[in-house]
Amino acid sequence: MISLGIIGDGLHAQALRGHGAPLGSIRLVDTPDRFWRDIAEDTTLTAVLVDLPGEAGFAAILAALKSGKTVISGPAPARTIDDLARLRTATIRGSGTLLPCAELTHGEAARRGLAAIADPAFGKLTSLYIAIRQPRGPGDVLEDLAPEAVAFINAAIPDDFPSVRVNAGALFGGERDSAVILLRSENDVVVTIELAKCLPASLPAPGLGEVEIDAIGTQQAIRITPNDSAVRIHRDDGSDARPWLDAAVLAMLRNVERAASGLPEVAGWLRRAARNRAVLAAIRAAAG
Amino acid sequence: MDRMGIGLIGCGGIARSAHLPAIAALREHVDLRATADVDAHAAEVAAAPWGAAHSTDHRTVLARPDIAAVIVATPEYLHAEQVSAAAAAGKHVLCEKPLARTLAEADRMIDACAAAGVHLLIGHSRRFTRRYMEIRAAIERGEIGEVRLLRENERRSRGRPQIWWSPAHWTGNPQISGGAPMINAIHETDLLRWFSGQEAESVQAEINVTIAENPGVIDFISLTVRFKGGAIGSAEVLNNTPLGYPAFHQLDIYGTSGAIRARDHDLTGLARFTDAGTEYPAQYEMLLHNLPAYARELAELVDAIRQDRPLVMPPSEARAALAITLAAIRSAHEGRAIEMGELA
Repeated sequence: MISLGIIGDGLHAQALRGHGAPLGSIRLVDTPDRFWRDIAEDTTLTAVLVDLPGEAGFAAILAALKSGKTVISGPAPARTIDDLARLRTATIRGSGTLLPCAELTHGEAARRGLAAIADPAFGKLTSLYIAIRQPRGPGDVLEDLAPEAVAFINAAIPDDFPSVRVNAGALFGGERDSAVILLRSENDVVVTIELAKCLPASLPAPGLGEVEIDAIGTQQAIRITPNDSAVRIHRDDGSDARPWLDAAVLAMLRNVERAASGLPEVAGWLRRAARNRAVLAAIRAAAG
Repeated sequence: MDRMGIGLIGCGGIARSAHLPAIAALREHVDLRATADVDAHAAEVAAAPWGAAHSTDHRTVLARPDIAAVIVATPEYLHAEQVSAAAAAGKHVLCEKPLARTLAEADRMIDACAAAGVHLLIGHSRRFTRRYMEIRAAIERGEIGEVRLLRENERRSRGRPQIWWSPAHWTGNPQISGGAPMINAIHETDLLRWFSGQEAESVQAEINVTIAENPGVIDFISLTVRFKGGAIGSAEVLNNTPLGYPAFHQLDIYGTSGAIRARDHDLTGLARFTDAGTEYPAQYEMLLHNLPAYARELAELVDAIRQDRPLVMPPSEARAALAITLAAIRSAHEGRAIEMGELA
């Protein structure tokens, strides 16, 4: 049995806490009042989901790896090469496993879309368009939203991206709340990414972000809009939407089970993380 | 009132699908009196329902004193010569977009028309669609505040069979075709500027050739524009979706106090989100290439001539869209952002 703790209170943590159904070989040990370091170093836990932003999130991942745990993190667990190396060292020394998981690549619609793009019937991918929009608010879209988009792109396109262009700005009062990114792969696939915290409160599902993905191939086109996995609550004074990410989070948990079984595919996390980090670093550099 | 004599130069696809139906729709106001096309049969077929003269030489159209205005529906490499000749002959002009291949050509055309005292209306037909007219009016009324972020994608299906972008069609001839940036994306650069109400500051773009039959003409472009007022616009324009792909246009506009979306995917022509709530004011035409838009476009020229008033879209607007498009092409070739000042 895998004992899984939760650090943080982001959407993934909320989804797991609210799941309320058996998780197979995983036993949830939720202690939301405990300090993150206590959970990370708890020797009775074999795995943790870290859903904590910023430096504390990185420190929690590092501590959990040092104590030998399997760790589910967001898609960009390290911001720098040095931090990535520290995670790698901690993994080797502590015998832990890091599973960087993007919600986008683990969600049902996107997983099916990636499978369809990989199918020979799709033909050659010629262009990929990803828009991730969220309600207006603070933060930097290159930090908050780009990792999800890059994780999907890297899952769909095996090439490097020698050309990276960014047009970004603070358009809605945020720090850097909007960006249009153009990537060109070494095999001439053009990727357009639109990231924005631009959605006004009056949209029909306030509080909920949206994703649009259009992949155009020589034989097929695939449009993915994984926006409907939410409960919309309408009241006299307004409405909001609460996403349920069961499919994505459960897919992440299946990776934990694979890791516990020692299956070799999880060993590729460092390569994937390094690739994601390289693309994100190029995007940040192009943004100036 | 006497019907205004109209000439048609260029009787190919856009003339058949847009301008001839528009002339027919305005038959109480205009009369097609002469046509010209290098393809004699095409000129004859276009002229036949009207009993109009037809020729393979556009100069025979321009020489007629009973024609007040001409529609120039030829590829862009012919515009400078034909529009300048029309102006010299004292004819008002409705010219298909793009205005020209270069800013120098554009300036020559604009100057020629100004010197002759004739109108020059460039066929940015999207501006005459109800869907986009309504959006522009909503922005002008301040319903979403100041425009900050815009996205207008245009995704067109490949042909079955593939005629456009093939060597057998002028669009697929690298010597004369400006490709998707000039044929398609000129609409998007115009709309981004029109809806933002701001002048472009810089442009970045990537281009591609994606259609197997295409001998090398650009059939894909993804571009992003930074405007002087701080707004950011983007457009992905392509021509290779399968026939089953459900949409051509995806327009999103986010302002400081609301948003407007008009996405073909949604199967509702226009949705408007403001602080007051959500409105679906009407079901507008799904296909923006539609008869009412081209009829309104031609009516604008006819009315401006008869009322001796300025056009709602002066040619300087089309020149600005052309400048953004040319900057995008240059950005893609040079792999860097192009400041608009570099094009001066």
